[in-house]
Amino acid sequence: MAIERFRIDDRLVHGQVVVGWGQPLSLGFIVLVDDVVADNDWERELYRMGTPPEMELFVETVESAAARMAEFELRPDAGMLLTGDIATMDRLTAAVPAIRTITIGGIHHRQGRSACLSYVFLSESEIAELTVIAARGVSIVAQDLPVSNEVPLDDLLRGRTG
Amino acid sequence: MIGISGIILLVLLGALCALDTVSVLQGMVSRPIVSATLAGAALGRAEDAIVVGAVLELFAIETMPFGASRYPEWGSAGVVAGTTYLVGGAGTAGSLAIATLAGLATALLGSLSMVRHRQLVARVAMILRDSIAAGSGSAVTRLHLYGIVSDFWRGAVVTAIGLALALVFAPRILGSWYLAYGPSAAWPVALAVATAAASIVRSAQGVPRASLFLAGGSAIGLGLVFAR
Amino acid sequence: MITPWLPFRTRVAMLARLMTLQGSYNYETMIGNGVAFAMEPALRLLPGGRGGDAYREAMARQSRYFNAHPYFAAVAVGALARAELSLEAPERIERFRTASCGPLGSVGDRLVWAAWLPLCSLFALSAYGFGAPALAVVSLFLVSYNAGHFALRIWALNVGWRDGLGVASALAAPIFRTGPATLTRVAAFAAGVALPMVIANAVGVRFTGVAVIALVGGLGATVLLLLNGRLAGWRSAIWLLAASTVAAMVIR
Repeated sequence: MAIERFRIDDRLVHGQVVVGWGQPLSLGFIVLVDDVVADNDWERELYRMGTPPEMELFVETVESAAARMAEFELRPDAGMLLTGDIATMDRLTAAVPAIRTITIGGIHHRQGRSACLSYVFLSESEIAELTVIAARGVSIVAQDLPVSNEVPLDDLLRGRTG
Repeated sequence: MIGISGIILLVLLGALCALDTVSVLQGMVSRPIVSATLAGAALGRAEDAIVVGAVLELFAIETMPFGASRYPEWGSAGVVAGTTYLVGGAGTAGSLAIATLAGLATALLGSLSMVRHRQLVARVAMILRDSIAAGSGSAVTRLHLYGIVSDFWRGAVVTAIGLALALVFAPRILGSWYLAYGPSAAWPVALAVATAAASIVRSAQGVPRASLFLAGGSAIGLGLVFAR
Repeated sequence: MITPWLPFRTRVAMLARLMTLQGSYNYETMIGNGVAFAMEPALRLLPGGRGGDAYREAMARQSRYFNAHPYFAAVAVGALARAELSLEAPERIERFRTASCGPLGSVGDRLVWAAWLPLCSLFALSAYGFGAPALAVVSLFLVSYNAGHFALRIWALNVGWRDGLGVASALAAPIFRTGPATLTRVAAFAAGVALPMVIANAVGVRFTGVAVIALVGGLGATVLLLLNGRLAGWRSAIWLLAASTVAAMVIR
């Protein structure tokens, strides 16, 4: 097995991840990549409490995640890697060329972002970052749950309002 | 035949059950086994209506209201299904299949209407944005009340549409229903069992020994049916 | 830092408002407006009272995007109310708001949506299968489910208020760590008992009929499982039932 999904989700570890994807994919581990969380005891603790005891949680910086990627890929169980924003995934895909597909699972509203889907809101700078990632040959889709349709990046940007 | 006062009562019931789905309480009055049975009780036949409520409840086991994801709205759906089952002559050939179909289709309509409702609330939030960003308590309250009241009306409209279609078409469809009772009733139940079983097995797979509990329960359940 | 006090009446008002937490749910701020609405009675206790500068700054902060499980969001409401009344630094409050969304969603979704709700539902279906009267089935379901539901909401608000921004440790309670797995085992057992009984009761068949329907249902479940959750059973059933309705009207 290996890391089944590389997901961008601003809520990181939450119900859609541990139940919505966790059950059908039988996830055994989650790699949470976030420099701020990795450097902060109470936030690490909070995310650990949100992770089911039967799943292992690794909280990594971009650099440490890139260094441990081969180890994660060799694990016998299925895993999911999460970043809370596009910029972090951008740095990770630059450091790990083996990442070929990423999924946008949830980027929510904030000042300066406009709606692409009910669970994806993007700013101009984030679109630029996604374009940079796509230019590396990485396929980008949006999908919150397994039962939802996969929306390719082009369709996602076409659906943008405002 | 249901009179106009009966229809008004059912629409109100559907609206209240729909409101429970997300906006107010979430005490699971919106679950189909409750809402369909309450519709039956409103028409004086709770014991009949619970049949379709139980079938829809099996479907509902699969669905979880995760965040911004789309999920069925079972509150109004149960009311429409319970009513359809009674109007279709509960227990006659085709009645369970048509009532289940009416319930599932209403659940889908409810799901789509919830998306529209959330977009509408976002639009009103946009209008009130400056006041809310300035920390106005009354603007926060206004938006909140608007969301609740409009969700009540959303549920009423979905229930009314579902009931109108069911009351017009169900008797006509059942009038030209040729399939025998057995397969007509077995088919929706088999689909519901498939949906519930897949969901239960999926959640049991991630928990040590849960499959053994499922197998043990199944043996007892089948044994009880055999002993009847 | 000051140690705040929350009068009983304010706590009750917050709890009542939490019952409508998702009233203004929308795709932009999600339940953010509901969080501000639920916390508002506490924020009136800030220096300057309702409409004062501190009140307005806190209301503005709390009405921004937030999303978590609706019952467990009460933990955040209690914790954030305490933080606001303790005059914590806004940056710390913002960081807690951001970081608590996911874990409070995860714990709630696992315990409530994925375990407690299906368990109560299957208990009710078992009662229906055993032939209990309709209103007894509904009462069993509503009373059992809501006993857990209300207890959870009350606990969540109280523990959030008690522990403030250090509330993470409360989520380490065994019921939240191992509870979902235990409830899933009980639900799996209840499902095994309930499904054959519901088939027998709903269709009015004996053992052979139940076995045939269970077999067809099992095949359908296998297809759904092989598709790894990509197909929703309830949505597929609409098309299958519509097709079979047409067939039932055409084929004599």
